[in-house]
Amino acid sequence: MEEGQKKIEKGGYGQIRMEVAFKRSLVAIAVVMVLLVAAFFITLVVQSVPSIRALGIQYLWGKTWDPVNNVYGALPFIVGTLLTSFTALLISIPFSFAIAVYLGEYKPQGWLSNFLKNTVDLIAAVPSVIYGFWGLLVLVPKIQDFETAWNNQRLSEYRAINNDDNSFTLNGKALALNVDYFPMAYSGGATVEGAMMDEAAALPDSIKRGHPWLFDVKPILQANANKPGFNINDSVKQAAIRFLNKGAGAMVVVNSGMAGGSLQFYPKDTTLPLDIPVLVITANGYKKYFSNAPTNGNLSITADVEVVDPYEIPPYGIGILTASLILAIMIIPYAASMGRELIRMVPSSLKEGAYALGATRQEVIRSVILPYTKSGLFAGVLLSLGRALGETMAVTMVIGNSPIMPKSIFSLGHTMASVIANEFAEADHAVYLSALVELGLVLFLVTVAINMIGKGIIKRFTNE
Amino acid sequence: MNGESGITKRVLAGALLAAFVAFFMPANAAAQGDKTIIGAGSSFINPLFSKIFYDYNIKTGIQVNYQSIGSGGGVKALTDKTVDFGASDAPLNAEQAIKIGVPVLHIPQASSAVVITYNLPGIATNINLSPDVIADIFLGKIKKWNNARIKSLNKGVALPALPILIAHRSDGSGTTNIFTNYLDKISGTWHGKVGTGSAVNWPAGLGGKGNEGVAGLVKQIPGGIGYVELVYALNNKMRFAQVRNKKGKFILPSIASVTAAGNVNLPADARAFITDTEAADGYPISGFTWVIIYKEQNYKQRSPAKAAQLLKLLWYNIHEGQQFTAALYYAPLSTSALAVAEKILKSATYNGQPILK
Repeated sequence: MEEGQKKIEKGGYGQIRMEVAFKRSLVAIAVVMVLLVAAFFITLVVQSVPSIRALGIQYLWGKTWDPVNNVYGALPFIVGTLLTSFTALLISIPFSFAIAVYLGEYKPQGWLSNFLKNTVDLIAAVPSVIYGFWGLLVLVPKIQDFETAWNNQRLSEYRAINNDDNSFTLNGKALALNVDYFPMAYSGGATVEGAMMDEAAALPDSIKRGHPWLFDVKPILQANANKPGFNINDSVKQAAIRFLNKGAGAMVVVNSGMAGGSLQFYPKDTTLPLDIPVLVITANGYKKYFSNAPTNGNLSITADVEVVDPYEIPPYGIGILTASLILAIMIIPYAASMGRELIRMVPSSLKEGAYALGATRQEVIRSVILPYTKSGLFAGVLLSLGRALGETMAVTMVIGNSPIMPKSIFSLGHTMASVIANEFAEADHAVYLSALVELGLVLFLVTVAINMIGKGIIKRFTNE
Repeated sequence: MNGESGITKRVLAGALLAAFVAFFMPANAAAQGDKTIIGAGSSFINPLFSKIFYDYNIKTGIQVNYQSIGSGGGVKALTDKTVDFGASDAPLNAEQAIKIGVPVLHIPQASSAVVITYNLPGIATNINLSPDVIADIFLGKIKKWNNARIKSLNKGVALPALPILIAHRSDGSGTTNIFTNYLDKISGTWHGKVGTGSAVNWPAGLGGKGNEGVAGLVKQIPGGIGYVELVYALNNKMRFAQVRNKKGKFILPSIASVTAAGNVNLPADARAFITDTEAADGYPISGFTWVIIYKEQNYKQRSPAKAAQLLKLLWYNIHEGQQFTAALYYAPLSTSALAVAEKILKSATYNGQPILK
């Protein structure tokens, strides 16, 4: 055959020469593509050298990305990329399979089928920045609402946080948080200074206003001692609201009746913070500072308190979840189109055979179509995943761009592609620039690895 | 009828082809000579430069081609000697200076400010913030708007019990550089923990791309706080905070207060951040944008005429060019800054001889 070809080439028949030239140009173009990919890889490696030299393998699992101090760790970005991509894939698979099966098997023809097919294909044609906009303007507020509802529905666990803003000084002595005193969950933050007042004290409002007021729970406890279901926390909260409305600057709760009060910090309280600090003196604190002091009038306190819920989801509406949802929509058409074509190509003899044996449509789909097309369907999923891994613009707009390790699906995150797009233009020192290129290299390798694993799986499917 | 439309079609096709070819042809060679000056860098200064250079072109016929690719890119282009001047929102850092190898000049062009914008539903006044409070908010230490320290600065303002949600720039930017430079100066904790740069390791909050990204986040999240350029905030009529300056006055960012911030004793090379200014009426989070050029203009076979042309343009920028600043919400150079800039321009040389007399 080769001999013949040579002969023909030498023979110089115009038509055949054209054929050969055509074939050669095809080969040349294909080779150029391969060379181009190789060149990408080499460029990435060469440009990454300064970063690899400076940071070594530490780069891959470092968690800090600090351009100021030239510390670069890629782990948050790698995790962010994989997390958003696989979450998006999980969300998209039911949709793309449903579309593929419906358009491939139930309704392969007709205007509805065409309309659906074109619409799904259109999803892939819309520029990603438009998805980003849609996400930011439509999806983010919806997720914000959802997160707020989630926070409200879930019982929050407020904690007084230990920082400079929490202090309680009594007659010049600083009380210890959670030892001598604790704030109620609904305690507000305010700086209050002044002599302690009694609610009942017959003083003009102008003098009492803004001062810390004392609230002794002893009489209430005594009055309700035998009442089942009585909750002292409710009484204290009611009193706090009354104090606030009457102009108190803070409320200090004591129990002069017994040393071990039954009042507790009630962490699951979901009341919104009041505008005044509400501080409870513990038995310990009462013994130390109150027992031999007259309760009213003479004590001067400074109260300043901040209470937060460490488990609250900040209602940003932005983060891994939002990015995954947007990505899921964007990648649906890839697996759907490929699946549809494959399902349509299942030989009708196979399907008809199954029907002849009395199989229902569902059974045909389950035992004939899906096994016949599974490697192809998987390839479609892989294509979707590839798209999700590299998507930049839409993700950047809704993920929050925070280089932190995501703790949950509601966390903010960052992906490899977005950090490159964000920081490349202003990377102003050599290692920084190189660290960004190395991130591109990692993304390249992750994509290659996932593709190779996928190809392996497809091969196993086909060999079975 | 048919013939006519055929001719029209052919003419149209010809015109399209010509346009297409022209698009791919390198700009004509003469234009690349002494009639064209090329610059690149800061995107922040781009609107002002566009206006100045347009005006300059009408008056002198000189075309200035400015590419707004970001400060870092501008410095890189100048280092690679592919442009006549770079523009940057920050002076060269040590590494950039070493890379460029020879002395360069920094010429201040105009100044602007970084403003702190916020989303507090129902609050229609400009809230007051002090340096320590700003630092602790962006460090993530102050978590609620009704925090006692914020309240004490804003007597009579009903601050809500909303959590503070921080938005910062996710892209490297001169705006971040000025803002972190300020935080670095006023807070020891910030200096130790974060530092200053065009992109930093933010202790808290979420990132938006560009001024519009940060502004969008703040607008969408009740309780949000972020920083954007003054120009952007004024153009979009955003609400921003008054900041207490070094002299203890609460200053609303404005063109006047930003110009005032630059009216201090500048070093002879003008390479100074004017954040946390000593000026009593100055807004403390302000900064210059500089044009950067080589001090010795005879490099890469440049003609003396070309060097003179460049210097003339830069002279125009800091004098007549300043008239366009206010309309575009930039702050013009203060008298002290102008004096320094003039002196620096006069120090540029060609073969060791001063170019401007």
